[in-house]
Amino acid sequence: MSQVRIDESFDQNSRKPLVGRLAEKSWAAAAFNKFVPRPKVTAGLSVRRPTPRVSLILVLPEDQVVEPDRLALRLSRERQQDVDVTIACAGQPSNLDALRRTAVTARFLVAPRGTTAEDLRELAMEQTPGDIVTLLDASHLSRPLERDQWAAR
Amino acid sequence: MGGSLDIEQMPASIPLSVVVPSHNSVATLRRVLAAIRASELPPDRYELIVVDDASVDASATVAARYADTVIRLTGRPAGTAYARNRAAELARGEIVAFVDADILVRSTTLPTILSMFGEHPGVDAVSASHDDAPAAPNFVSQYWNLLLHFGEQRYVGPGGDLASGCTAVRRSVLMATGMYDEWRFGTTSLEGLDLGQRFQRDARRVMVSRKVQVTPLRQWTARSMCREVWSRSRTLARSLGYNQTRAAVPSEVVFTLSRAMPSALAVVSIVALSGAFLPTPGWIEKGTIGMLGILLANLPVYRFFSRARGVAFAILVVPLHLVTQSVGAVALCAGWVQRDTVGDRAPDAATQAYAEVGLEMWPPVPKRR
Repeated sequence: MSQVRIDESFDQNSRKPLVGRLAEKSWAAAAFNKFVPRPKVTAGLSVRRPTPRVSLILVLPEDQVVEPDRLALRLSRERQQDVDVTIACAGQPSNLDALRRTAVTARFLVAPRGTTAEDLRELAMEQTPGDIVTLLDASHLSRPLERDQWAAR
Repeated sequence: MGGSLDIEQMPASIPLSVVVPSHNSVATLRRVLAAIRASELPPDRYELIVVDDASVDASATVAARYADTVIRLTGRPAGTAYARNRAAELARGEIVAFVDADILVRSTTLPTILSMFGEHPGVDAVSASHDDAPAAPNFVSQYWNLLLHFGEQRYVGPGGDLASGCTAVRRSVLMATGMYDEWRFGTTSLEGLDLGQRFQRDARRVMVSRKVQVTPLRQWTARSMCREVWSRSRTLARSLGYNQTRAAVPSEVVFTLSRAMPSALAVVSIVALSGAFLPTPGWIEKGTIGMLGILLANLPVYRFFSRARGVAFAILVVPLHLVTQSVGAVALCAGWVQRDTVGDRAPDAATQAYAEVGLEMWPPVPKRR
């Protein structure tokens, strides 16, 4: 990306929080209020804890499909470490129910269709309680399954 | 929730971790992170870690748009050294590059730094330098950033300058050296100088590349610049030692400011003494001679500004440079007095007590080196 394009994208992006920007759009407000839980969980962040809370955000843009078995394999590693998992989707993925069954303890954020991957990341970050937050794009789960299985061992 | 970190099991399979500490830097953070992501280095060759140091702005959410990992520190701001150390502990890269939240890297910066480590296996750290085209257009920002550029281009010492805003270090060496000193350098900005000194003491090789340049984004005012000069000069005199640091890192801006002081003071003293011998001691003549002496002592700086921005800019710089030098001189004296009266810097009593007890908590208590 050239410097000019970086500057352009910087100017175009409002510094207002994403929640506010999405809520202002009438077409998105209804869907947003329906699917995105409103309470913030960041209030307790100022409290000191013995260990950091670790969170994983998985970003699923509109054009990405994740197979439940790949998701299960990835999450099995997180379960061992008691990691809080958030899955942020743009629109309703066709296999959303299967994903919900696979990731029972995960928090699902279903944003309106057309929400970009960057906006999904920002939205999920606002809802995630972790002190250490790993953000993972769905494309990372599209590696050959054998590699993941090998890594899981 | 309440998960624990299993750092030992994390695979160190990527060449580079880029660490950006941020405290209320949302104004520049988006551009900084976008520039890193626009790097010519393929995304699978590096990870981007942002440490949000107790910001009250939207730094964390902005960071989430670009970063692979965001570390959120809560409570009071802990400082750059502390934030960098927390990220270094988590980093998976063999090389860790620390980029400040107001420093814009070029698309070639990260690949060039990586290739320098590859071409020079004995090098333990690589540091970039400020370019001569700072982003903020106001006069004070141009002056200050060009002054940093002048020092880095003209004076390169054996210890190298690890305080340039973009520094890359071998992670294993950083850990072996004890990382940044988060105990003494809480909210001050000389942790890079301290690390450079320790690198020199341990005979580590630091390469300062004049080719690898970065653009400072921060906008300075006369007030903020004077505060920075005061803080740097006082901390340097109090905690690091003037002569020792100057021998190791002569490119530090405190030395750029103070280098002309001895000769300028000598001229002013001679003029003052000459009053005893001159038949008619005129204050105008003596003042003119004294001022000429100070100008001559600063001639290399003024010539640089003249070449970089023109004669008019250099003339305008003269009074500002004198004010900055005066602030630096007073701060150095204050630092020496503090060193001899109250001793070296240390965290507040509560932090020291927590550290003494060895309390395990997140965010962790600053560690004493």
